[in-house]
Amino acid sequence: MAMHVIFPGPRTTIQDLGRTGYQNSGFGPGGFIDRAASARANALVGNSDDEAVIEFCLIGPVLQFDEEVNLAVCGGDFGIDVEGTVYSADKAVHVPAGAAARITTGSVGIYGSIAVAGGLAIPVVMGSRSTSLRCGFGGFEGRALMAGDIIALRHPEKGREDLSRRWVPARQPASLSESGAVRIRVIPGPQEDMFTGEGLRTFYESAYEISSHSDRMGFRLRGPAVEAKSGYDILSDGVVNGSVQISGAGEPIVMMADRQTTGGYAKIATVISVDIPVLAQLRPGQKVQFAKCAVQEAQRLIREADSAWKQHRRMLDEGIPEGLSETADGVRPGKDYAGNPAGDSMNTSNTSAGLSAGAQQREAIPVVLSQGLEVEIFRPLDEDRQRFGWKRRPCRLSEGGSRQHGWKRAASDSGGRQAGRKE
Amino acid sequence: MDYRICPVGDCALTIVFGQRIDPEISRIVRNARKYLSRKNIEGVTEYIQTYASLLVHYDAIATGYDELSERLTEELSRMELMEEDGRKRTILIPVCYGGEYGPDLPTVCAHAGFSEEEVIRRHTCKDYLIYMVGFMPGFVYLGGLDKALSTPRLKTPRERLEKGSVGIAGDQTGLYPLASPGGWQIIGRTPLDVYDQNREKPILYEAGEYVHFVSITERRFREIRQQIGDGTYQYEWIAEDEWSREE
Repeated sequence: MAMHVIFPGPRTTIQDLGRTGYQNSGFGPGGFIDRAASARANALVGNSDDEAVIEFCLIGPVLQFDEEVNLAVCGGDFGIDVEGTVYSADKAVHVPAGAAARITTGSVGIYGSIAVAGGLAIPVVMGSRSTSLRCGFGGFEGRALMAGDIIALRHPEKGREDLSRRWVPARQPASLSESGAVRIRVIPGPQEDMFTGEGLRTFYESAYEISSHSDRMGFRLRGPAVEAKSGYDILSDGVVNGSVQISGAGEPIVMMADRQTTGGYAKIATVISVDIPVLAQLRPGQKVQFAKCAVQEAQRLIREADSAWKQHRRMLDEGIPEGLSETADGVRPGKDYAGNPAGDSMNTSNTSAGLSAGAQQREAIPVVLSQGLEVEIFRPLDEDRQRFGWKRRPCRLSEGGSRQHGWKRAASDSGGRQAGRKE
Repeated sequence: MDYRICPVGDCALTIVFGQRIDPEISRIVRNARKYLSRKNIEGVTEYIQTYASLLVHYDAIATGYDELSERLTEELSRMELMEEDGRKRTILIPVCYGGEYGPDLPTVCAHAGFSEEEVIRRHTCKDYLIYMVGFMPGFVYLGGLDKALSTPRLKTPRERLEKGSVGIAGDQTGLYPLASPGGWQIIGRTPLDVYDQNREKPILYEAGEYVHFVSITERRFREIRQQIGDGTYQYEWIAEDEWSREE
């Protein structure tokens, strides 16, 4: 059982979480440019979150499989065209043996992640399946995919599973500044002190446009020059995902997945982790505006998102209760699918998980409201019910209230790497 | 020992020990990296040693900025300022100078006003400290080039420098572990595989160690290539004053 690349798309590579542990030797970690999209695509087809995906830039590939297979594409409003029927992104799509799956491009998003159920048989190099184009290793023969490439699947039997009921919560909509630019939060530093007060004002108050000279290595931004006190050169130091360098021309460059490990330009700020996927999906011409964020707040957001995501994955992997798309009877009152009390860990994404069961809307809504959260209720449409069960029907409730349970208990439920953690 | 810690986003922080290129500061950064690595601090995933600072990558789900910086401060207070971590380790890098392997050797000679022999003698008589490894896998930022050999970069960078190219750019000398475009004046080439993804340490050396270039003939270059292909080549290290051989 193998995947055949009929048409590759211009910049299509294999990526996973990237390489850890070799940065001190100068190996950038590489990996998913949009971790959230890749985790979602993998979750839809039953892979682990870190399974290698096929990542493309704007124009996706055409793929053909010897046997039936399950695919999912995430990252924007891409689609999968199977013999003339176009299935939307963010869903598991079953592709019959021999049929071609053609990725379609919509108007939102730029980097797509295609997950193949069962995973691709790509050798692990230095702990990762990611392609490093710069060094010519990892992924498929160290290069972008080409027409005629054939890649085997590790667990082709996964293609026979019925995954049509797996789903992922809607992505958080981007938050916009007053000027309509996408708000990207950053933590100031480490070289903020190299810029003048005027320079910092320029940086935070201007809208910057994503340049077409952007790629997996870095997003160049066009806009007003950020004034430095005396030059932009520093003694080279470490660069991280989201480092905002100000180059010699005074314009910002945000370092992304394929960045170098070290650099010699002053770094005014660093994009927070939860906003990297938002930035990664902006197309050239779209605008961003930076907003300051404290490191503690950024880390709270990471934990909140992680906890919500893990809970959703548990719900998916432990089985969606019978009756999800038909009636409410399969879910025990007051519990979400993972068996946690419904009020324990609400936020937008996993609240939607709890509520879209259609089960205890009457019971759950007061719980949510009592925590002062905004929720979206998803209601089924008849035609959706027949095919997928549910469709988003935004019904915003946003009544404030006291937070009785708080977030922290939920975080400690998320399992895994909790030891030694202080709240 | 003075240092300050500041966040670099929400998954890394930097410990800044100084603001200049200085072998003493470099030694402190290296000692801190080695010392902290041994402590297996909860949540830390990687350390990157640079000229005067140490970048610490961590998992923000396992730890947080406040907690981790407190822990690092505590650990660093226990680190002996001048703790010497092992001996000075120097790797011998054989280089075939000039000819097709070093097309810019005549440029460097003309600029310095030396014969080829003199440039090679001066380039091979020093131990160069590896301040940091970055830019590309195994690319070394070396300190200590003889100022008389200093030569500006090429006006137009070459599209492709061969793997193993050894060059000079301004006051720096270094080598390209992988084929790459580049503007350095190339004076020779090493037959060694500085980078080998199948080796336990994919890059031969690390920051804080030293590089010593050794002039070899073209014939020896080909022999070493052969030995590397056969897996019989022994990389040569000098540990302190004693010669030792190890894989």
